[in-house]
Amino acid sequence: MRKPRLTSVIAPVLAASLAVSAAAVAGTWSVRGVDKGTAARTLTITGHVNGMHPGMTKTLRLRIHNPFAVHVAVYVIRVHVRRGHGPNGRCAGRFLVTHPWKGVRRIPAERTRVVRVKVRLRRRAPDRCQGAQWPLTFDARSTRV
Amino acid sequence: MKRLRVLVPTVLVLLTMPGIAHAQWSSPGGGRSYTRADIAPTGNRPAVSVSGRNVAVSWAVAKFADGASVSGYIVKRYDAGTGTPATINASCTGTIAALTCTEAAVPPGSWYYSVTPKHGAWLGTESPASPTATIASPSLTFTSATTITALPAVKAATIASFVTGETVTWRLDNPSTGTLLTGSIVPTPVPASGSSSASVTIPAATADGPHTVYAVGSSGASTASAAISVDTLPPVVSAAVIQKATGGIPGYVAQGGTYRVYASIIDPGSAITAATANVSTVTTGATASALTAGSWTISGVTYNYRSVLVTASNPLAAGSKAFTITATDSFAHTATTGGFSVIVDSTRPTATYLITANKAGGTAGLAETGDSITYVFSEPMEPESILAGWTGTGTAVTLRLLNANGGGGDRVQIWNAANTAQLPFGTVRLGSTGYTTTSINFTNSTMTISGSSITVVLGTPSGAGTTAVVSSNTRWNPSTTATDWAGNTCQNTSVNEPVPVDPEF
Repeated sequence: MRKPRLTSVIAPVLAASLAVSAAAVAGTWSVRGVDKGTAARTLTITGHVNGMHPGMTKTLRLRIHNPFAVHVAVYVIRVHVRRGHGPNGRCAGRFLVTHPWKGVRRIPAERTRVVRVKVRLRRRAPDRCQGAQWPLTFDARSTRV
Repeated sequence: MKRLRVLVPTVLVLLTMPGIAHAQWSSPGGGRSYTRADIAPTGNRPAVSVSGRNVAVSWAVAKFADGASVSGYIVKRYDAGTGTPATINASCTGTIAALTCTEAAVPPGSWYYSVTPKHGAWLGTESPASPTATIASPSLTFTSATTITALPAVKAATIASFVTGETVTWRLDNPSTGTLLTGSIVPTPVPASGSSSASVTIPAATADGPHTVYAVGSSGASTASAAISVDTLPPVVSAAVIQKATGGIPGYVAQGGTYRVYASIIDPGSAITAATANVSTVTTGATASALTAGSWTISGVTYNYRSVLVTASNPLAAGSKAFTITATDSFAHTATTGGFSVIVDSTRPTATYLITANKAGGTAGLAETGDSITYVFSEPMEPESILAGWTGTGTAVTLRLLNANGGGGDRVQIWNAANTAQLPFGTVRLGSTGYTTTSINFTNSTMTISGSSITVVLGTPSGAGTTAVVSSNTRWNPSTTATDWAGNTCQNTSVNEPVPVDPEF
């Protein structure tokens, strides 16, 4: 009588564990890109800041949208600044300084949350950077919770 | 059972770990995100305030769209007439962090200013032009009389529009090499207003006449001048002469003749207010014949004063007569200058003789180009009385050789160059009729005077003459129109050629 009782306990536990593990592995399907014809399956990060001038630091409010049906936690966001263009010509992205955001930001399923990143325009930004617009790309890392 | 209680949770933990390890999203951001820079603002129109050579420029703060002020400004100055940028001077150069600056030592002229916001390496838009700032040229103004009648003289003055902080040196007639003068300004150095009172001494050795006093600022950016006139001496009479009314050679007058007194009078320091001639030695009682201003040239000398016509006394003894000139200037400096004289000559000239000459290689007895005829008087004759405007140097005339048509032989007359008016040489009869059978005009003949003789060299004949082969006694009956230097007319007394008689020409 003891042996059947042990099996009846371990088997469901193992089955449950394997199911959770499989679900976790399945969570990596949205790692990159957009599957054309379907809804975007990636975190969407948007945000912009205007009115930068040399020596100025501003807060960039990043809106992170979680399109998944599960909750996720974002713990790293890197901001990449590309070469800017303006009425006076090109302005290198290196004049715009940002630092990665690190922390834990829980985003419920299909909800949007905001994180704040500091952006600074270097004091030595040349005159041609006046009115320039720098495209930003983001690299976020998150985990399902 | 205890072992099972430990094993089951452990297995569960181990089984769930792979799921956690793979639950990561590395998500690129969307292209809609950006950061945009502002543009530097436009400068605000500056205001200007002029004090002497300093211009205070002020402006309102320029801000970015977010309200942040720019960190500095570039101030520029432009020529208001041409719009040409000028080099900005101290205190307004470079980047001005404040909202005002005062440019010093601004050059004279009309200027406008602008300010351009500067933030880091960013330059904003240049402001509209300020109102025009007009900087006066440095000036020196004497506050006391500028005519100096006694030396040394200390003159009060003011200077204006000099550069702040300058000291001033003083020079006479040249700002760099002129005589250094003693002078001072109060206050010194030049204050911000650019103006000071001044005192400068004109030294004793300063010559009469106009002078320029220079105030020279120590920075080299301010030089001003003002004119003065020094007049400590009376007028100077450098020349005076008496000329007979008919003109010509000066310095001679006949008794009873009319004449004028000419004088050259200068006064470097002021105007001549009165000039008179004392010719009482020539004209009784004429101790102060008034001279009036003008310009006349006599025998190459220019005179600026002369008298009205004055009549010489009659009788009047021949000889040299002295006369004086008295002149007075605006400051009542009067001087009487002597050493001038005129020769009184009341003796009428006479014809002495007449002689002809054959040119070298010419034909004796034939009037031809290059031959000559010379009229010799008892004294030098007045050229003006022979031919108007003639001074005695070679001049063109026409010699007419006329056929006799009567007694006394062929005749010689002297006419002007145009052959339209006979000159007062009287009549010359050659004593023979063999010189021509018609009238011949020797045009372009040349008449010269030498001492008491007047010679005419025959020019180009209008026709061929003939050769007189007989000796003829030429006779000259002079004109009474010709005069000597004093204006005495020639006596009408005929003379023959000197012996021995011979063919003429």
